[in-house]
Amino acid sequence: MKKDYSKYNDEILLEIVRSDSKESELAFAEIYNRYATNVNAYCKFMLRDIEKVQDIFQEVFIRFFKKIKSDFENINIKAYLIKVARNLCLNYFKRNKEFISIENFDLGFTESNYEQKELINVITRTIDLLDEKYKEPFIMREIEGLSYNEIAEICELSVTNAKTRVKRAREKLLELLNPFLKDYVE
Amino acid sequence: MDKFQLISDFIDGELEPLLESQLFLELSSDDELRQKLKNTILLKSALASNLSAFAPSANQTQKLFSALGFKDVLNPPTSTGKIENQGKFLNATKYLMILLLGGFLMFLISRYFTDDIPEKIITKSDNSKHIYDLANQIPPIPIIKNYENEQKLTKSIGNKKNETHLIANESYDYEEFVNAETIQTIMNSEHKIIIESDLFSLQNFTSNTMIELPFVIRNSYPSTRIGKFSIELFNSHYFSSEEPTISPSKNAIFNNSAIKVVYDLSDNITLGAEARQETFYQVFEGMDEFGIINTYRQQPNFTTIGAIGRYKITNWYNFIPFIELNVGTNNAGLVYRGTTGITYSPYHNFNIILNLEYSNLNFMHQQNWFNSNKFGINYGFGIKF
Repeated sequence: MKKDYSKYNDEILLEIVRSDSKESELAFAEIYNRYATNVNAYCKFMLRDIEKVQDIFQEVFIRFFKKIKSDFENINIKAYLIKVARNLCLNYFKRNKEFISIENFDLGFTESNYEQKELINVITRTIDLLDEKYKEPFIMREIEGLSYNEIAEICELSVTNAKTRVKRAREKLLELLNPFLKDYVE
Repeated sequence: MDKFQLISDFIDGELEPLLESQLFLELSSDDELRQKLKNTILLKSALASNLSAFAPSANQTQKLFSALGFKDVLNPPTSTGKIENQGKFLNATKYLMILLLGGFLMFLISRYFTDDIPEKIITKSDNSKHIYDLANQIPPIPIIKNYENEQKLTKSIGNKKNETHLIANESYDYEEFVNAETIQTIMNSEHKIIIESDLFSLQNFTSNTMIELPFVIRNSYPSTRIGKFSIELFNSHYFSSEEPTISPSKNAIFNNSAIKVVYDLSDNITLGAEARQETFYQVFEGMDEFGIINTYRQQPNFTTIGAIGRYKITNWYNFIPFIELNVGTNNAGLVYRGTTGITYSPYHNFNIILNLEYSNLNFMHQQNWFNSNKFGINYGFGIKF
């Protein structure tokens, strides 16, 4: 019978991908469907260079696919993907320190609501002004929806530290965005 | 604890009840703090609700799947970063168009195979084999109409009105996955925040949003899209077990056509109902008003309403062989059918169906039971809703 892969949990999908059956590709595509946006969002926030974002995005999923095939250990897929994306981004930063203009960055919004689009653009640009050590946990928390435990594990921090950094990022963002948000809320 | 820490923990859903009371107390008297809470919530909800803006482009997806050597995944998107419904082969308009087109085709086919000859309803022969036709007579069995005790029979056999009954039925489709627990443990980080106060009200924003990406997975059928009901339209060619010696009576519109409404009870079991316009070649004996035993032959139209039970044997590359049992009734009597056939699903919500069928009409005349048998080839299509 035909399968609705969206009904399967990650663990089952991983098993199917590992099985090398004819369903393997479809199961992997379902996993991709679930997490590609998270990975892409992370890469876009961290890198800003659209070409590099695409390279790293692709590399993340290729590595993930290889890992599934070679390793039978069950993994937290989203946390794993973000971790791989983070490592690739850090490697890129180490190799390449050039400044990337924020103006060249297209988020690809499709909202018809202009105000909402404007709000997101302003927030996005403001996030970019945050110190990296606050920015990263903040993105993981607010964009990726990771738990503090997962953030702590990925960023190699204590949970308390992760919480504090997210809180400071929020505080700093509010400070920077206050005039704009005040008008927006009112 | 500093005041913004309270807000931050509250937003994360991790503020202890005691501290929550403290936060509300502070909020009631601190305008600045209220503003911060509003802004924090706005910030969080804006980011969470716009994750879709970060969906990878179709190009990225295609590139990745090409790099991985995937062949079974399609990439037909036309735009980027947009929540789209391209996984649906048929939208509502297309469904309607196909149904209308299908109905029209059935009509044409049924008309093409319909005889326009004058009514030649019944052939009667007595034991001396004297045969004569009763042309242009309605109802078709006038021979028995004078018998009081056969009033029921005149109702049970005769010229049939054209009726089509659409039978509503429940339906269903997908296999339930046994281990359908939380999609991922990481999703446990999702928080629902409901704040109700005189300050403002914000409900149910989440820190995580599942996004649909702009590509299609072949054979992936999201349950929210495809239901378990199907409508199937058929046309048939019949072959009577006994060579008819009389033409069919004037055929009805949609003669030899059927409409079925079916419901997928499980992956293998389908239940449903059908309405079918058909003819049966009937041969039966009876005594006329002169006390002569006659053999009657007629081929009237029937509208048969039936219940269907279908067992799908397997799914082999979208070819699904099945067997089907059908019990129905029409004005003459009970109809039993056994069917075997195959369904091909080029798309997840569209089937092409071909089957072979044996039908038996069991009817009574003058307290005697008779059978009429025929074989049929049915071909049609089904649309799943």
